[in-house]
Amino acid sequence: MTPRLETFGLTLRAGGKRLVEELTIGFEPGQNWAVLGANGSGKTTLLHALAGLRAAQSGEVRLDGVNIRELSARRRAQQVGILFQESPMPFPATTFETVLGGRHPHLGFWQQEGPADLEAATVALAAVGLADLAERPVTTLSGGERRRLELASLLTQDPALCLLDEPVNHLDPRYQMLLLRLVCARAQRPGHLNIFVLHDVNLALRFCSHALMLCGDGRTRHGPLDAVVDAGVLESVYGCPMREVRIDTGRLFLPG
Amino acid sequence: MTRNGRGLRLALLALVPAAFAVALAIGSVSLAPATLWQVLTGREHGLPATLVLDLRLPRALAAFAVGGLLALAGTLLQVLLRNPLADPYVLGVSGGAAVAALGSLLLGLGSAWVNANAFIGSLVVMLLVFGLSHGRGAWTETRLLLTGVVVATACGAIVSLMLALAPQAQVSTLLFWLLGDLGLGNAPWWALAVLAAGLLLALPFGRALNLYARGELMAAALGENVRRLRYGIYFLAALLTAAAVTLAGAIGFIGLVVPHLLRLVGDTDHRRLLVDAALLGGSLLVVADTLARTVLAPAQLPVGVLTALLGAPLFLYLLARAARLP
Repeated sequence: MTPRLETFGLTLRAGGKRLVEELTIGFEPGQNWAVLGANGSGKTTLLHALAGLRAAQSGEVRLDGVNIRELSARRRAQQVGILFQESPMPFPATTFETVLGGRHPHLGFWQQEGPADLEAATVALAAVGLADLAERPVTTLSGGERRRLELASLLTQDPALCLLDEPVNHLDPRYQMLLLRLVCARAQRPGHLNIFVLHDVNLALRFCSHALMLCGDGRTRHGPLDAVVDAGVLESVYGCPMREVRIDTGRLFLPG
Repeated sequence: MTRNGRGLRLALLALVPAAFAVALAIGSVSLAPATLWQVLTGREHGLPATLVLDLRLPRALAAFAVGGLLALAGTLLQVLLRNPLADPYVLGVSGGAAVAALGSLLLGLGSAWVNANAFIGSLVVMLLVFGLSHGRGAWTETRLLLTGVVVATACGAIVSLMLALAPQAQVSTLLFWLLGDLGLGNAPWWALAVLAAGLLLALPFGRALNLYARGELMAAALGENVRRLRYGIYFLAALLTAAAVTLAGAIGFIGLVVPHLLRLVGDTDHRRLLVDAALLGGSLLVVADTLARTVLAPAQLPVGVLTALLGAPLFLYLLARAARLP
């Protein structure tokens, strides 16, 4: 299948450190990618570059064959959505208002939200279990509730490509499973795919089809998850011993 | 608009005529409501008509325009700096106006020159702060805020120097300008026009402002051209502030407290908040100016002193509440 999102010779540096060197990779519809790497290896930087929010040192990111930095922000946001690792909310707003912001790229300059937009926000809030908190000020939500609110905003935006930076941060096990299933199932829709930055290798094993591993020195490994991930690779990526455990549904990796 | 939002808007729309009624009726000669009504409907042509139509109405309109401008500029700058405690003067625009206006007063220029130079002074500072905060390195709101604060402080030092060196007889004139006063505000129509134009320019961006308030990255991720938006907010807010300062000096606290108050009562969507802030800011300054010219009559207090005296405790109260927010 033709990739929707591709990089060509993508090189990213931050603070003089090489994060990604000459990365050429294609992300195809139907795939769920896990981006894995140690702290500071450049996972977030890469995700921002893939979302078109950050310029590369060299190389480029293409969405459907077009350099993503040359698309208008609005056109880009209709196709690509991102869940940030942290989202400050310094001003009071209700949960519903915040989620409704996800419709922004789909509305014209003079247009107001219509019934379909309100419906999309309502459905998204219900999907993440926040229907009862729709009128609450976001400043009163707990960490996990805010994480779900941000996910609901992404679902309301309804982009074909979802990039998620540590989506399960602050979430309890029940919501970790619920939300990863919800997002991963979207990849079955025509033209849809997801890229997750994850810290938990075992969640990646369970939910993702492909992996992109950042080695911390600019080198990367990528491909189908089962072919890329083994104890030796994980040990070199994370710099700590990893033990592989077989269970009835597959395998697990335990650090230490 | 939610039911709650509509109720607030109705309350504000009722507040505006109430504030004007108070401003027009109260003064050295207080008018009964019936007399005021007769003047406003054109059935009374004597002294009360002169008082209301020639003196009090222009002044009240000027107060409304200035209050609205400051509240609108404050709302915009709070979003731009992503800081609910920013005010229209934080970027030094009023400092530039003050230096130019006091310089003109010291040189003995007429009031038209003082106003023109105040406006030019604020524009110079606007461009200076903008240029400096876009120097080498990335633009951040912290950098803009610090640049503005430092330039404002430098302007303050120049103002202090002028006050120290000024002939004794002129000091009170200078102080009156600095504290903010509407006594000279006899050209309210252009200020009202600026307010209307500012609202018309800002309103279509209300939805984008909602996103920008959640961070530049968030706004960019949801399809906004953040650089264009940032420049737009900056220059609009600076021009609105410059217009207000030129007309009435640096009247404090309106631009800080009004948006904050409205946010506290749940007015959080900027498509509503911008209009509501203009209405509330305008009405509050009309009332404050009425108090300023009547509390110690026949002496007139600079209205800036009054807004500061009323605004400071209110602001401290809001600050204490804000500490509980994350």
